[in-house]
Amino acid sequence: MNRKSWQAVMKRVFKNLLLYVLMGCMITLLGCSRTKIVDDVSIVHVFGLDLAENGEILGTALIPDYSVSAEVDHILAVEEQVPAGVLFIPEMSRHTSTRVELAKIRVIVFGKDFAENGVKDMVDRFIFTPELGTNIQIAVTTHTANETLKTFMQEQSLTLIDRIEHNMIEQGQPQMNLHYFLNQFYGEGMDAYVPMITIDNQNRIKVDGIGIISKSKLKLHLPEKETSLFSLIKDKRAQATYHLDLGEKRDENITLRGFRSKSEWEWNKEKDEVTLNLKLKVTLTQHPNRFDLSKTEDLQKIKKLIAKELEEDIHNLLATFKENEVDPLGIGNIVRSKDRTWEKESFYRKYPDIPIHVNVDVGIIHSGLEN
Amino acid sequence: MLRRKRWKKKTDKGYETVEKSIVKVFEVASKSSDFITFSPIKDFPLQISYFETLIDKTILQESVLLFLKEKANKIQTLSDVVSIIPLEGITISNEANQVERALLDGSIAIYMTDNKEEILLIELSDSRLGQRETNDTQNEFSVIGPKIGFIEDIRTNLNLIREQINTADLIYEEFTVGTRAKTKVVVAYLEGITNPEYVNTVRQRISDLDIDISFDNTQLEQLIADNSRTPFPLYISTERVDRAVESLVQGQVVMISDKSSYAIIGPATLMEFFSNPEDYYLPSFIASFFKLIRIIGMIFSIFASAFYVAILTYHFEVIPKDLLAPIIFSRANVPFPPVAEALFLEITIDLLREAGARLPSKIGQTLGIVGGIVIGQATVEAALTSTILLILVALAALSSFTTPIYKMSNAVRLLRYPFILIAAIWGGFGIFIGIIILIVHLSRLKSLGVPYLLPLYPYRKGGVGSSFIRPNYPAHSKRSWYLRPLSVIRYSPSTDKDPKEGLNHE
Repeated sequence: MNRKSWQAVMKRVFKNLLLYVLMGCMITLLGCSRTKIVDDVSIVHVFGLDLAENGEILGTALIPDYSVSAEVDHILAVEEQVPAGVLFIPEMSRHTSTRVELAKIRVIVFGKDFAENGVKDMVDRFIFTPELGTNIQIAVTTHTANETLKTFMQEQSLTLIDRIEHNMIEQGQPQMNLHYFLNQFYGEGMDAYVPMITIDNQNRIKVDGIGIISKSKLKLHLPEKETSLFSLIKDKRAQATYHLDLGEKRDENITLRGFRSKSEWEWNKEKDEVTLNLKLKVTLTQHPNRFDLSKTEDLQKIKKLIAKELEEDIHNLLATFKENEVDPLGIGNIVRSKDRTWEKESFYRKYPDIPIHVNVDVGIIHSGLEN
Repeated sequence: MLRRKRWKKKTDKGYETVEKSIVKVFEVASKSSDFITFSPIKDFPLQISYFETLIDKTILQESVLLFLKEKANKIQTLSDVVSIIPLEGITISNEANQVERALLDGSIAIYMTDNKEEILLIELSDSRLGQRETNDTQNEFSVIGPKIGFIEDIRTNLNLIREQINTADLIYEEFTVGTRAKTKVVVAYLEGITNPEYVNTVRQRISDLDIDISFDNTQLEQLIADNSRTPFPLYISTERVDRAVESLVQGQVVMISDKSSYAIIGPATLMEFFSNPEDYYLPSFIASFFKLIRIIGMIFSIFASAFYVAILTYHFEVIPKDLLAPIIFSRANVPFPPVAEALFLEITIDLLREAGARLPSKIGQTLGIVGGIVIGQATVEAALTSTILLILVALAALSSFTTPIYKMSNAVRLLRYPFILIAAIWGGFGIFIGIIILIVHLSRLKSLGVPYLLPLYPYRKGGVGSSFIRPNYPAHSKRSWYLRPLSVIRYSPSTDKDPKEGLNHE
């Protein structure tokens, strides 16, 4: 064998060797991970966080035990009080026969007190917990999380996520998940909003508007009607039902359902004012009989009426936000995108006094039918 | 590899080179009890010898003995016999090897008792002796289309092909394989269409082949394969005549050997194994759907239980919430890890399959009941496996049987085990490592020198679509150019002459 072909052979051998070494490294250096066999883990579905009296955190986890029956009738509620969020898993593991896994959490519920005292340390932990998906919901309850989860447990279901999400898709809750939440929570010039849940007088869990978290604290609980209006402004395809009361009589009602909305914000630097142009396409599900929608003038009239009423309501909504010094619509961010010299502190100092003009343009896609 | 190693050693140890004499040939042959030697004419030194197990006795009696005895007085020398017997295929030989070969191929030898140097050979072989009469396909069924399959007789098989492709372009090249026993192998191709490279490759491999005896074409297939260390079949082995004919027309080489009911087709590509002649008898939409079902079935069959093991062992978070309850509940009493129950069930299914293949068909029904009902029901009740896995494994087994070529469906079935094991060790990551290794392996395979993954890798334009679906006939008028046929166009469809006006077009 001559020298040249010998070199070629060596080259090939070396190439193969490199491949094997690389593959070997890839396989062995990954190390071993413990098996998590599905029936040997305690899968947390809902997690609640409360403020304990001594300032520690009280966590509540709902863990179903499917090994007893395939129905959801054996739910274990594990409560643990710890000084820091990281300690939940080791503490909770003392109560369970299998390891506690957070990966299947769909909803994290903050108690009212907890949310009002600041949630930043816990939200920071969410980022450091890779098991948590970002397609999960953060919710705030009007009671303590512990109480809420225990009430929910009695319903023998774990569908809190569905209860929140279908309201976002088909009703007046604005779209939200952990991904959006983190963006709004850490983003400049905007405040995060989360769905609120409450226990109604029949001891059932009910979705109840949104809560607005500003500077890591719960500042405002927006009731259902305002939430619908908020979602019409914020979401592109909000299907919120909105009800306008025109007078005393039963007939004097207008009910509309959102179909598509487009909000355009303008910032006038000279005058220091913001204009919102809201283009709404709605379904008119109910209107007073005095309007005959087959006539053009009546149609114009009712459109104007709706626009006027909506403008007024939006003004009130914006006034509420200014009053509470919260900015869930992200007006600060909008101004920042158009103004290079924007500064957070100075903007929010003058935020309550910035005039906001609202122009609503209503388009009716059809009327009469419920959907 | 077998082929190449043997080829190097071949030089000095051929069996054919041993010098033999004709007397020796008869001496050896007469040790067999079926070797008959007798004198047909009284007091005349003429003898007939033959293997009675190989010849057609009716012809011997009616066409040979009858004429010999009638005209016995005319016979002086062997050449006189030639003029007496009204049969073709009569040769006179004085070579020992030729005589031995002819005797074993079913000839009778006529010679003068005193002169064994010159032998008259008359071919009287009865090749259909001991052959089955029916030639229905046994393993590759189709609902519509011809049911004719090959049988274990080369002449019948060649006849079946020649009848279908009645053109002189169809060339049969005959080879003999085997040093101890000679088996006829015929390589068929279409002159002017099949790339001569393939024919040359087959010719060279068959003539280089050194094996003592070749039992079946499926064995021959492995002996001349490009790579013998792979579970994948590198040639299509089919018993359907229409499939063989279609391949010939597409420009592939078909090999047929004696005593084998399977024709082998090369060069074959992976995706061809999932098409079926029936595809061409059904409307293209339906055929494409069935073909896709087969491909999806193959993928499902390989990965179903592996993903079950990976997900249940490592990635429980991908299980939908509503499925968690049934899975956990059915696994709650199973004491084994998912890999053990998966292997247990897979092996059970393979036991059933193997037992079903070996059992006499009359007991087969019992097996179905034992396997399907008793074992399935009982393993779940005995908490050996979960119900979900039972369904998955049964579905995977079912879908592996959709692959039309038996050898490929076996390969698919075997692939499951490494995937289950690798999924148990590294979870989903392991499955992807496995997929990479599988793809690398597949892309290195060749069939008659043609990449096995053609036209997917190396990518060839215009072939990918027809690998997954069955195009309609107007769109399928060309042969796959990447298989390098000498003529690409098969037919040119004429345009539609339907009038676009009139009452029928309202």
